[in-house]
Amino acid sequence: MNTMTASPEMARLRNACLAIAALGVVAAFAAVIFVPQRSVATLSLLITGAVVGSLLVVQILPSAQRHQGDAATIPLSYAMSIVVAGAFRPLVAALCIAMIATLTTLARDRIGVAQPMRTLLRESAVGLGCIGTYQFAFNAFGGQEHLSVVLTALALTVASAVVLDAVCRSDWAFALVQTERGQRAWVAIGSSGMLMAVAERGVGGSGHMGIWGPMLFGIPLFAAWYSFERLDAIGRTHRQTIEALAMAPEFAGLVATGHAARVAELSCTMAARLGFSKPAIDTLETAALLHHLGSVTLDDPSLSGNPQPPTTVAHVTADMLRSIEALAPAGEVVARAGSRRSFTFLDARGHSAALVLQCANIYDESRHELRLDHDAAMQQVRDAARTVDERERSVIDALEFATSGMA
Amino acid sequence: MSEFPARLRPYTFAISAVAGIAMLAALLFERSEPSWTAVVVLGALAIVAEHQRVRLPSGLVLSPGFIVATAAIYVFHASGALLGPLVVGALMGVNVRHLRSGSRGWLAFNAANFALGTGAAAVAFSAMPDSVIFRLPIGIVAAVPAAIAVVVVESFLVALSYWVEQRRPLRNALEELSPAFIQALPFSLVGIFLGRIYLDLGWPMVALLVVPVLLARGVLASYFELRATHEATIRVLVRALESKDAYTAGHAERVATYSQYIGQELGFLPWRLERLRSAALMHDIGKLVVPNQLLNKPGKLTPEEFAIVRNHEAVSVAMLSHIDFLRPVAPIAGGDHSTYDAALDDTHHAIEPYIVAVADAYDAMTSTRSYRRALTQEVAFAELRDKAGTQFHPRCVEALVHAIQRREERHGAGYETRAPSFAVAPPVTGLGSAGLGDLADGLEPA
Repeated sequence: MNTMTASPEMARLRNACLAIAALGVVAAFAAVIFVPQRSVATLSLLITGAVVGSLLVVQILPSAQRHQGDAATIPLSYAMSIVVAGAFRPLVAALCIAMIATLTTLARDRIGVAQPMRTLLRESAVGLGCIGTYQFAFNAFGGQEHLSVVLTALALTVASAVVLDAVCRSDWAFALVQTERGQRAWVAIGSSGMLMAVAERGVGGSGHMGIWGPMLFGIPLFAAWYSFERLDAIGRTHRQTIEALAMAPEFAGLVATGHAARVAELSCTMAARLGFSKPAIDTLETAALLHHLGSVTLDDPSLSGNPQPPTTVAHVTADMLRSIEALAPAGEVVARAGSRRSFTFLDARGHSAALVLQCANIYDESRHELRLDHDAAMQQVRDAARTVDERERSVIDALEFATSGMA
Repeated sequence: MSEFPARLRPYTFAISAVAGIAMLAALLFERSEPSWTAVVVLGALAIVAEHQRVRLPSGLVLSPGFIVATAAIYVFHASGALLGPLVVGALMGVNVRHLRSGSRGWLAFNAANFALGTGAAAVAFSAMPDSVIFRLPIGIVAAVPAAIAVVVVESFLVALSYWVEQRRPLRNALEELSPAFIQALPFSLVGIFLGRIYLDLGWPMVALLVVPVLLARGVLASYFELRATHEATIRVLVRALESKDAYTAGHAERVATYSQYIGQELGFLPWRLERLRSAALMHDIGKLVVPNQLLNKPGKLTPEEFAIVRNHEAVSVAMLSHIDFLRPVAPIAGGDHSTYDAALDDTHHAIEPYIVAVADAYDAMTSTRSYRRALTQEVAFAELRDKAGTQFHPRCVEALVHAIQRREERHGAGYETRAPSFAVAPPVTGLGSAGLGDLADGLEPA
């Protein structure tokens, strides 16, 4: 598959997972030879799977919004916690969770993945919570070996894992579950965990596959994780490419250093204040980052002696962006911001993305090129916007809010 | 999907007839009927699965339908061993888009193709003794012949249709389709287990498997969408670059292609080839900041102007370094780092800058520039070989020469596809170079 499949980080992760898997298989063989109970070998492989799963995490937030550490990740090992909770006696399962925590710490330390103590505690709490919930729910429904009883108990186990994981995140709480990616990750982990648990244990003597169940039914979960990883990587690369392009007019000396990044940040803060949707904010950010890109294709004003008309720059930039389907909406914002007819471009909530960009741009140019103070820069914006419209006033109020710390 | 080709009609009629006869024979002669509930459940699943196909940029199609096909073989093994898989296979050909457009040809073609593939797999699977099929882990091995059968039969039928429609040699078509084997085995194993758990525990378990599969497919589709956008962004950037300097039209794309040739010859993995291609496309990105007036200035540059133009290399490196994926190969854009130095030729230094330097120089020599007409391919090869070991990396030079000769491609004088026009015809002499050419003749780089 011709994709960015094996970056050096991915290669290191893959090698670590393979090494852990090999150790797990050796441990399982040793267990088969030296321990009479076959379940010990099964447990060895399940623990191995969980340790590998703890290294494979789904990143919930886009890279730009990610904080330090692993606060915005969900490990695949939660699926194994569900399997262990559903397939073994509570004491054995609790011992498994303890072993998984210990080995995970060693593995993460070995490959240089940061693991704050609270991460370890959270993952252990989720594991132990799964055991408690499954036992409680299974017994509460009569403790009978019926598929409906087992599936209901497992579903409640997944729900308890979601709640416990959220509760144990002091700074994120339920924010991750509310994101689309967080919901998708939990659905994949939960459904795979339930399927693997049933396949491992069987129900009423039927469907028992032992360790082969989790091994085979883990493939779709792994495929889902892999897809998330690829999407994350290409998203990061695309964003960084846009940021690199945004630097071009600055390197050429056509705009002040850092102008695009500052306008983008201001615009996003204003848009969030005005209640723009997430896609609308993303479009505005791209437009803000690239709104001067076209200037590099025009004649250099320092050599020609003629300044570049802002309208021309906006139109050239807009034409460049419009030629890419996914960037066309950003091109529209740039075109309208440059045409002084920005009020005609409204998003679903009636706000003008182009006006936001225009105001942020004028403010930043006033501060960093004209060297005006905050109040004078705001006056420049008000003069340019000719505040007669309620909507324009709300945009300027948002600019006041976004720049309140810059006064 | 295009209109159904007229040439394929007799062929489609023939394979549909074979599939129909097989179904009729199974219905009449099989001792037991399949469970029609299972046919409905797996048939519906097969239709859904086939709507979740993802076409990769390489052309390879990933389809979860294969999981359902092997699950059907397992589920119907004891009862309706041929009829069940044939019907489920035929249902895999039901496509909403074809139904809406009334394209009966494609519906029949796909249904017959899938039915015969799944039927062949069922025959291969039924040859296995029950004592093997229902035991783990040996049961996994028993699924392998069935998996191979379904892929071979489907690939053969599609290859045959290419021959009928386009007269493409069977062997070539089969070579193109062979990567499908990659997806066949893991999917078949999951399918066998799905079949077993369906038999033991019923349809709710099927739903639990479908969820992560659909999710993975959805995320993968988003990935390919964003990837296409990213590639389009780079192409627009390259166009912007070429709009500033019309003399280098197509240069970035050609350098990227030659770099890929070299990377392939050197055995690069796909991710490294992709990184090389992106970096090669963007190797001159810093020219965006060079004033148009200097890039298109007729005659020689002054030392000050030369310094401004030369600065584009540092800007290119800075911009490429901003992208994590390209940072390790950012020196590609810096002239100093791409000049070969045998003393630095070790595994600690990325070879990519040397690759792009060779590709860049080859394209510069085989393209018409304002200061010189395109040279012949032979002269360019000789010049590269002459400088191998001093200016260019010898392995990269030989890799490029070998790759172009193996492809029987011709570049340079007499073979230019888009030769730019100049107000004053360029001279026919002078080797020139990549990048600035002899615009800065007589000047020492700043």
